[in-house]
Amino acid sequence: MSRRKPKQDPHGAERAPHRLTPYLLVGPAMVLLLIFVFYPLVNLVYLSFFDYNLISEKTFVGLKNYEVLFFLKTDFLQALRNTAVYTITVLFFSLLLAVLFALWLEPESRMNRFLQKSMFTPYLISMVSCAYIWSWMYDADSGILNAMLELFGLPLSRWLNDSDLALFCVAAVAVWKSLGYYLILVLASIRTIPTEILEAAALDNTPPVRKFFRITLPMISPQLFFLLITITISSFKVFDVVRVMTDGGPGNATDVLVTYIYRYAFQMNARVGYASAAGTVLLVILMILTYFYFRVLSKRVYYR
Amino acid sequence: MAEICLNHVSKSFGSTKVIEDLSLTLRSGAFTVLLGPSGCGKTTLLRMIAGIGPATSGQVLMDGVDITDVPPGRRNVAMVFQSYAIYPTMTVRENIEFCLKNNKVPKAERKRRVEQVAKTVGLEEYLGRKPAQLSGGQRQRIALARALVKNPAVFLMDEPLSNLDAKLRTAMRSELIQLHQELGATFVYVTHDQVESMAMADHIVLMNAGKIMQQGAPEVIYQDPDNIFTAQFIGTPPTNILPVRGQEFRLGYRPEKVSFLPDGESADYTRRGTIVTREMLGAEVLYKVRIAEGDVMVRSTCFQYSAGDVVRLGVDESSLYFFDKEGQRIREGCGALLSHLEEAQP
Repeated sequence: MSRRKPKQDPHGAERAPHRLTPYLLVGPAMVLLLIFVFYPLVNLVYLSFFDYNLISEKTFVGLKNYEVLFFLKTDFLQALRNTAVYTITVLFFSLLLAVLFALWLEPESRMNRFLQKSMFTPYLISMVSCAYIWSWMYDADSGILNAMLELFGLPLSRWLNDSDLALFCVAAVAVWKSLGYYLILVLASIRTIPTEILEAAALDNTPPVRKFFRITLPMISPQLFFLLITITISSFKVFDVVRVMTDGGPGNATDVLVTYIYRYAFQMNARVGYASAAGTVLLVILMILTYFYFRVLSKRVYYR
Repeated sequence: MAEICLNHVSKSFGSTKVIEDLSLTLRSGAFTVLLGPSGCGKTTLLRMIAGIGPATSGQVLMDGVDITDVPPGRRNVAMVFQSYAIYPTMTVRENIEFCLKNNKVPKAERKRRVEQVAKTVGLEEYLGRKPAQLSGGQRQRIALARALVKNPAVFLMDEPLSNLDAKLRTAMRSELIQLHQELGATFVYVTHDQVESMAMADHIVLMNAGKIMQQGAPEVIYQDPDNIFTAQFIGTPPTNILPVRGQEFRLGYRPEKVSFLPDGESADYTRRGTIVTREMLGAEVLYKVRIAEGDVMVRSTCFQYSAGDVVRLGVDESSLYFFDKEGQRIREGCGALLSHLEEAQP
C-alpha cells in the first residue's frame, strides 16, 4: 500500500498533522503499558537478584536465587518438568481434537450448529467453577467417573490422588474447557478455503487423507500457528485450575511454575526475591519458545 | 475426444429452479461455447458435466455411458476455473503433478509429462515457484497446465480469461484455439462475452434463464437469429428492434446492415431520420439516428455526418428480421409483412 497523501483543505494548502499528534494518540496506552507491564517486568528481574520478603531490607545476593532454583532444590525442576508435560499434553490434545471436531462438524446442518454451540459453552464458564465441578466428578469415593467404572465392573481409579495421573486429569479439564473456542477458530478457517480449490481437488481424484494433509492443513496453518502460540503461553502460565483442583499435590505431582511462584511469594515467608527468580525463568522460557516458533515454524505457515 | 450428452437435466438450489428439463448434445472434438448472461445456468451445466454440481434429475452421458453418478475424479474431464483454483501452498510443479500423483502415475513418467506440459504453456522456468510469486497470466497458465497434464477427453473451462487484461485475453484466446486444434479434444467453454464466443466456437449454445435460446455455428447464430434475445445478445451494438404501427409483429435489423441512401434512391426498407449522436470507433463510426418509430443504431463507414444532420436510411429485405409478439422469429410470409411496413410509414 502506498502512503496516504496528507489531506488537502479546500484552499489547496496541505495540512499535515502536527509532529507530536501520533505520540499524543498512543500516549495513554503507552502509559498504561509502562505502569502495568514494563515496570513490573523490569522490577521482576531486578528483585530476582535480591533476598527480599516485602518487609525487611533488600539484600543483594547476585545469582544466589538462581543457584538455589537449579542446583540446591529439586522442587523447582519438578515444577518445570510438570509444566512442560502439562503444556505438551494440552497443546497436543487441544490441536488434535479441535481439528478433528472441526472436520466432523464442518458440514452445514442444524445438528452441527447446535453441537458447535454446545461445545463452546464451557468456554463461557469461569475456570474456577469448571475446576470445582470436575473435582467432584474426579472424586474417588463419590465422583461420577468412578461410579461409571463401577457400573461396568472396571477397576476404579484414584484420579486426582494418583500422582501419575493427576497432572493429566487437570490437563483434560483445561482441554475440555477451551476446546469449543479452538474448534470455532479452526472451523472458521476451514470454511474460508475457497470451494473451487476443493472442487479442483475432487476433479484431481484426490484421496481424502491426502486432501487433508496437502490442502486443508496447509491452508489452515496460520490459525493453527496462532493457536500453538497462545496455547503454549496460556499453558505455561497455568494457575487457577491447578490451584483449585490439586494445589500442586499429591506431593509435588501437579506443581507447575506459577503455583510454585505463588507458593514462595505469598505463602512461604514471602520469599519475593526467590519467587522473582522463578518468574524470570518463566519469562525467559516463554520468550525463547515464542522466538523459536516465529523463527522456525512460521516458515512453514502459509499466509494468504 | 468424447461426446457429452445431457439428457433432460434439471437443477434446483433449494426452491429456485435454475435449469428445467434441458437436453443438449456436445459434439465430440468440437469447441462448444455455452454463452449467456450471468445467472442463465451455463456454469451450472458445466459443473454438471464436471460432476462437482450434480444434476437434481436427468442423466449425463459420455460417449453413451451414463456418468451421472461417477465421481468427478474418475470422469476423464479436466476443468479450468474462473478463479483458477490453484493450490496456493504448492509449487507450480506440485500443482501440475498433483493429479498424476493421485492417480499413481510412476515418477519418471510424471516428470516427463509435467515438463512437457510446462513447455507447452511456457512455465518451464517457474516450476519451482509458488503461485503467489507469479502474475495473473502465469497463474492462468498453471490452471491450464493442470488441465492439460491429465490428457482428458473433455476440457471444461469456466470463463478462464475473464480475470486477464484485454491484451492478454486476446493473446490467450488464439492460444486456446490453437491448443484445441492440436489436441482435438472436446472443449466446453463458458462465457458471457459474445465476442469471445464468436471468435472461438465451432458451436455456440446461447442460453437465457435456464433455457437454450438457440444453438448453432457462430455464423448461423449471427446471421439467422431465432428470436429477439439471440438477435440482441449477439452483435455490438445489438440488433435494432422496432415496433410496427398498427401491427402485432416487430421488426429487427443489425446496425451494420443499414446504409445511407442518396436523395431519390430508395431501398426495401427506407426511413428518414435525424442523427442524434456520433461515436467514432476508428475504422467505423456509430450513429444514433432518430426515426419515426424510435432510435436506431447505425454502424457505418460513412464518416461525413454529424449530429443534427437529416439522413435517409435503407435496409435490404434480406437483412430484415420479423418477430412475433412472443419475440420468436417469423420466417414465413415476410414479403407480406414488408408491405405492412410501407403502409405504416407515417
